[in-house]
Amino acid sequence: MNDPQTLLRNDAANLHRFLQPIAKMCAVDPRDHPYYSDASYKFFAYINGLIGNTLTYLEGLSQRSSKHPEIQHSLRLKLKTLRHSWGLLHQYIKPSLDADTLHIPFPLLNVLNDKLQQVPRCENFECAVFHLTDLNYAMLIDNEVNCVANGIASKIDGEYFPPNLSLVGIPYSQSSGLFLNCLIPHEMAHFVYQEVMVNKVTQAVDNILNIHYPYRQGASDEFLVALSQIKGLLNRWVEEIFCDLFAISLIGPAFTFAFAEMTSASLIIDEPRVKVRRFFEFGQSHPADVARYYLHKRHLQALGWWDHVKDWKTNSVVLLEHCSQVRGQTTPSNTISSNVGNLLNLQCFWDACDWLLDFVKEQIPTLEKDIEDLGGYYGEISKYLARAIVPSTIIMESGPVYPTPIVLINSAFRFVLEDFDKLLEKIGKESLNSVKDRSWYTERLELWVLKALEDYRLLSASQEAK
Amino acid sequence: MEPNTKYLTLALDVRTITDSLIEFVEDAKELPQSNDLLRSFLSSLTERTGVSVKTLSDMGRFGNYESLRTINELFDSADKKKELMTRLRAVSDPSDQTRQASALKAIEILDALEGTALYYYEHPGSESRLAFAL
Repeated sequence: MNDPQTLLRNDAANLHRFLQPIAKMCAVDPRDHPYYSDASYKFFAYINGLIGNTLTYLEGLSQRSSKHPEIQHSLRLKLKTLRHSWGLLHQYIKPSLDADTLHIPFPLLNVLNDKLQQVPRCENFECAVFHLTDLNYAMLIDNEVNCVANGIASKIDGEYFPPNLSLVGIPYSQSSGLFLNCLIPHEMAHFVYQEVMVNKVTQAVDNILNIHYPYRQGASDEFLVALSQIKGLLNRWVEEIFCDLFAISLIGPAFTFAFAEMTSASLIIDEPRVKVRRFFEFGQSHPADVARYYLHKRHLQALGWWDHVKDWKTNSVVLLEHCSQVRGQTTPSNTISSNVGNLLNLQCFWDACDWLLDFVKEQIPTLEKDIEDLGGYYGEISKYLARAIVPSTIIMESGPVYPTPIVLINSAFRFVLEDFDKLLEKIGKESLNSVKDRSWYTERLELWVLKALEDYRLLSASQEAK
Repeated sequence: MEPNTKYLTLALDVRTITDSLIEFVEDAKELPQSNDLLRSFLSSLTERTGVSVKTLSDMGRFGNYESLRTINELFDSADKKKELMTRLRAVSDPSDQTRQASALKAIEILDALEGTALYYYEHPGSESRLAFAL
């Protein structure tokens, strides 16, 4: 039988072997193809450095001998924990390597990074992208990756995760799209939440919980466990709402419309609740969709968008109105255990959201000029789009105008929701009823607007230079 | 964060405490004077007369559901929690003659906690066999 030192050395060698190929993959040279965003290079360099530190730590273990069997055993367990931790980071490395600049919506990301850096205390934040096989959007969740990376770093004398870096996952197939990628700001917001807002928001949530669940003398450990679940649920739901509201503050109603498309939520409008129960239920990780749309509408109203949006002839606006009427019918899902569900008071959530609406409005710069310009320029932009012209520069009575990215993105949504037939009519009457044509020209429209976003950066930069 | 990842984070947090105990035994390095993680962990082991939201906040990183139920499963009686607390406090007390032995015993107990957390991380859903009826 091997002695404890041999066992430790073998375990260390196995983990060493596991990490070496990952180090080679992450050794990305910025001078080589493919190209990545600066944030992605930063991520690869960090992972590479952390692997290097881990390898050095493992190599040093062969010289480490303890006379205490408890410690020899404990060090082996530590290697197991490190292996699992690296296993988690491993999941994100290949998807990040796949997301080179040819496979991400680069012009839109530039716009979103610019907007993000205008938020107070987010001036140095950077957001890169990795690819997901799920048809969903997700953040490289701060608590998950940063905590685990920092957990590894603290055990092997490595560096902590870059403080201003976040990675967002997009479906690998959607790299050239505009509309669905308007969900990205929600994922960016998770990072802002964790880095900048979490203390204030969780304190506010604690205060609300204290009112609904005051000190209970003689309560058992079981009650404490249930209370921890309620607190966890509420914090997760509130974080999701924060991210929704942040995304609306950043890019306007485009986020809500993208979310409505992603969730097929317009089903709620005509179907009885029993058939669309899922939209009314608060789950383990997310609040009820009905609650989300209700709060979207309130935030759009508070920011001044609603007056422009409310008359748009689209199901998404009807959806927002409808959810405001039925939000009282929301309930906890049966995926939440009955002992927690019975104790859970949803009023805590609504109280927290009342606070959150004011908080987000105070924290994030508003888009008053963009809101006004959307009203003023949409008529002209829609004429350009109906003629398949990229609306980088539009000619108004006052002269040439470069619509801002927020005006362009929201105009594109309005056009596709309200006026798309004007484009199809010009293509040919038969296109009006063709799913294939509608899909194809939607893709074209997205490319025109992405081109306009790219042009805006150049045009505004050249205007500033003058 | 996916719930089962919280078990991995718990394992890493417990490991941080264990590493400081190993450094104490092997290198005679004292535990840090101001150690939020250890303080939060001790708070999660403390016997209580009542429960509030503040009780959870005081437990810091150990105040989440996954940590609480893992700790409660392993330390299924108040005496077991008390034993670990006594050992950890002894290590922090320079006048205690049993510091080294206490540290080694605490390392063993913490390894059991880290191992349980890793088990739950590796086997999502397995923790549901624990029932906490109100």
